[in-house]
Amino acid sequence: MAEKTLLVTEIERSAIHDGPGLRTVVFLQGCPLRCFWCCNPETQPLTPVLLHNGKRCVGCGCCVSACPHGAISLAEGRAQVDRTRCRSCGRCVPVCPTGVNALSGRAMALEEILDIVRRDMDYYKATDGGLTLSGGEPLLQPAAVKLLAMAKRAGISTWVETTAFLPWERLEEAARFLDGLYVDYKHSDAAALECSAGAQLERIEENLRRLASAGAPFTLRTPVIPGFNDSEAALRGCFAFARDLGREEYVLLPYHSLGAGKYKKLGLNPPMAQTPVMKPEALSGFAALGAEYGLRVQIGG
Amino acid sequence: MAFNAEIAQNVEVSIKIPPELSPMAQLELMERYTAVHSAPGQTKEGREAACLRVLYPALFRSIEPADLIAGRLDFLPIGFGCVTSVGGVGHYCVFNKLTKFKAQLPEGEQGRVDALYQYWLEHDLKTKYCRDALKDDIVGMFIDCDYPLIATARLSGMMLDYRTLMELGIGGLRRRIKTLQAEKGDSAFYRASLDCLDLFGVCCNALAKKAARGMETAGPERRAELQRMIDALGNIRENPPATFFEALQLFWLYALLAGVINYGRMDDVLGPFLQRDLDEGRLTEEEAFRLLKSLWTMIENRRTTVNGRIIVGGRGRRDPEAADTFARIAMKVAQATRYVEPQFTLRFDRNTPEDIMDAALDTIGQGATYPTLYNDDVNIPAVMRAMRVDEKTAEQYVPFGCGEFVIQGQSTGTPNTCINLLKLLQISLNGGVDPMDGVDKSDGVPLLPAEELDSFEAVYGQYKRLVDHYLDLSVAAQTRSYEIMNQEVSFLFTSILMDDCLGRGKAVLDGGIRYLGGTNETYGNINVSDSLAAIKKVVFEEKLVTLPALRDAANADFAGQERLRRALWECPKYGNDDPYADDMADDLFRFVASGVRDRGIAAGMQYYLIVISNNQLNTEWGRRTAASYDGRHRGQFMNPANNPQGGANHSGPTAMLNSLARFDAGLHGGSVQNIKFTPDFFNNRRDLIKQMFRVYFDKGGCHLMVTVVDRGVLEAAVERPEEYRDLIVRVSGFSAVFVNLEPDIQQELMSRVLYG
Repeated sequence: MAEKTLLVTEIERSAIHDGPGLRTVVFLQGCPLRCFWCCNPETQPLTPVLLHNGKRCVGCGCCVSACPHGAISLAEGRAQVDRTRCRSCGRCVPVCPTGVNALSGRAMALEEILDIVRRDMDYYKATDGGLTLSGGEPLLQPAAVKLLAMAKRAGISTWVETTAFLPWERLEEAARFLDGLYVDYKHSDAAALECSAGAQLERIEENLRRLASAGAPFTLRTPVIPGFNDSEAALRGCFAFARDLGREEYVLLPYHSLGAGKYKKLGLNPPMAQTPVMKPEALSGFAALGAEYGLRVQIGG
Repeated sequence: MAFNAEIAQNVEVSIKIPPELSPMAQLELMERYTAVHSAPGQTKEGREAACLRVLYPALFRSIEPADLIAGRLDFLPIGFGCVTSVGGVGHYCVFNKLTKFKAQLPEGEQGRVDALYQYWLEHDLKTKYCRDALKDDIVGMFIDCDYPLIATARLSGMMLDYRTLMELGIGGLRRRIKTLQAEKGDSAFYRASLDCLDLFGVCCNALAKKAARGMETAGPERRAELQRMIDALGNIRENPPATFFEALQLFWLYALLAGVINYGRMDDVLGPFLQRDLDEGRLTEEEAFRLLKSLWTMIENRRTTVNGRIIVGGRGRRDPEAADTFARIAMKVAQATRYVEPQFTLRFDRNTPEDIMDAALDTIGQGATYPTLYNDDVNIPAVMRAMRVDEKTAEQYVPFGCGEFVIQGQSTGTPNTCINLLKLLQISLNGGVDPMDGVDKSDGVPLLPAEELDSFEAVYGQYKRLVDHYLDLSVAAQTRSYEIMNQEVSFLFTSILMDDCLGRGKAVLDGGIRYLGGTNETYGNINVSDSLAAIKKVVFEEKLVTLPALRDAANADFAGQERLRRALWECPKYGNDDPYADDMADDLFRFVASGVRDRGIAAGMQYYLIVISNNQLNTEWGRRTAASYDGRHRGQFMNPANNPQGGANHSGPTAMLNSLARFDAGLHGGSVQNIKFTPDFFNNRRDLIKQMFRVYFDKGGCHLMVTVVDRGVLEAAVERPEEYRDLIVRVSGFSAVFVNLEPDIQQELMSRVLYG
């Protein structure tokens, strides 16, 4: 059964930054990384997760009595969620009159997802667009590969936005059904990556080498994060690796803080609350740096 | 009371420029008009011509220093016209304006106004109509929002056959009428038509004099401009125009005297003159731009709010290349002016030159809102079916006002009836009583109480029965408006340039017009279909609430029932490409559109069609409409045009466009489709936007009005996020729904310079 469903965070239609043309992006739950700057923290668990928008709470207490786990209480006129007790069962969602609660992660049948994706078929044809899986790490859920295969059979272009921090077999299998991959290559220093994102560079690089030798159509991207990799040295490392893999293009994504509100809804403190949004112009110097490595650098998705 | 003389007769959004004549001169003119109107022993046609001679040229204003063409008109509370936006309809008195005017007079003179007021209470055309056609609690007057149906008498949206005017000139028209008089026999209609053509000449002379007066103080450049005006007025008084300038002047002056406020296919009419002048070196493109800009300003200054249509492009133009030359310059003028009017309209099809489509998107992308886009590939076959005309005729379709179609020079399409479909749904679920004011508006249609409606089919069936009854009332009110207008007036200037009035020797509403059509503006369409979808789901499928309980909750504006309201609001909504909601919207559309169309044919009209319009009435009527079962609050605006309720669509532009493309264009007489973009989304990936629109139009999209929003809209979105869930913005290379962003990022986005 699980093989025929995916835990979907969100489906975004008319996307224009996640591969060529107009695309439908299916965001999936679950990520093996824990990047401290993550802009989609609700996608990290491989389970549904409660988003609680406390700002809109009117303190009616409906959710308190609805919660079977005793995870919600009223304090100072507002509902408070005890995350150690919350099982993200979702009982508190429909009872709230102001829509404070929402679940991220809904199990959807692959056919159901594909039905939505198919509705923009004409737009894909006109713009070379299609389906993009994102997340989270969209290939973490095994059924994701099935969805890609189904989409390909339906004549839909398929891309993923992946960390490549996966067993090679999963990546290899997915690549058979993919027209393109954006792989986030966040740092070329193993210790820095391990410490800031909890990922092992060795595996990512090994996967990327294999993808390259298999001739897979992938593009490396780096989210440029202040204090982590926004230095010449860090980016030189990234560009050099890309050149070694025979890449000709590279994408730099300026840091943004769109995820800040989501942290609050998860009961967490936004880790980079004080860091302002990075303007694309701030990266033009790095684009010139990329050129030294023979790379055409695109800024922004 | 269904009728109240003092009620405002249309929604005036733009502030009008006050008349040039002194109040006493205005009073004297209105008294003269009234005296002429009341003179005994006149024919209807003779009286109309005589009355027009009182008004013109007296109401022409001075020529403004920047005017390149002559002709600005004032309107008084008493006079003659076709539409409510300028003056009034037929021999009219606008009572509330007359009352205001009275206050400007010295006290000793105010009694004179009272005498006029009393006379016109018996003679104002619209008053006669209202007394005849309205029905307390059921059929109200424009704009009385307590009614489910409102009706008026007016002749909106006439787009005249200016091509014939250009070919024949005033003299040629006169000769044609004289020949017809000789062939078919004399008639009051022909005699009065000739009087009107004479009056045209008198107005040319009067305007030439005004221009000559301006010469005295003018510098050499301005003198040349005024001289050009004087020469042109001298020529077009009798002859067909020889130049683009003369053609422009002839068109403008005729349109003013006819009292029409939509102009039509100007590229077809004026393009050949423009091209010839450019080719033969009589005119530069720069000067042509200046002239058109002056025309745009003249139209803007008439302040007709949702009219002033100028249409370029599309099939059925005599000289498409010359017409496209006009269209290209007009596009630049639209970019340079960014006026609310004219409503600059582009018709296009697969063969429209790429540069014109690109220029149109550029103009829109700069925040001009215009041109509004009409797809000939869909609309021409649709008009053939909807109006029952051949392809060549359908090629001359033109949208006017808020989006109604007519055939230029050949049909009427005036929307004299408007219906509030949402009010009717509430009335049908409340045993005939409007929950907004507790008044029974069933008009005798037997309705079961909600307690006895035990299936969705029963709910929908009962609603349809009530709508059917109101559509019967609606077609009767529309046809009655034509009869009463025809009893009173001939709309002479209009009749002269509408097929086949001269040939048949009959005025437009007297059997002269080739295609007698009309339209019914429907409101709340989507609120109803979303409400029906919500009732189906929440009451009959999920059984979350009973129908009587839902009715009671809505009647109480969901007080203490916010959870239920949320559940309703979260039901599938039109605009998200969700078949659950869109199928319902389509089914309701078919029912209402066919119901109106079939009744029009049965009543002997060529066509009577619904239009789904873009104006303020959805807001005005919404204020007087109770809470609805789609989760909309009492008094809140209803859905605009053929669009979702504000905030109901949240699935991106492709989903929205898929929903918009659902309805069969062959069943309506115009349906406005709006979509809005933030500047960064629209302008940074223009290639994708262009393809997105192409797909929509290939899927059957008939129209698209694209708004690239400005800072004000973003500010409104911060205030009322629930209404703006469809605004997508780019942040540093990412797309995001604007209202979901954190306040600081919203501020950052708003601080950007949106466009230059």
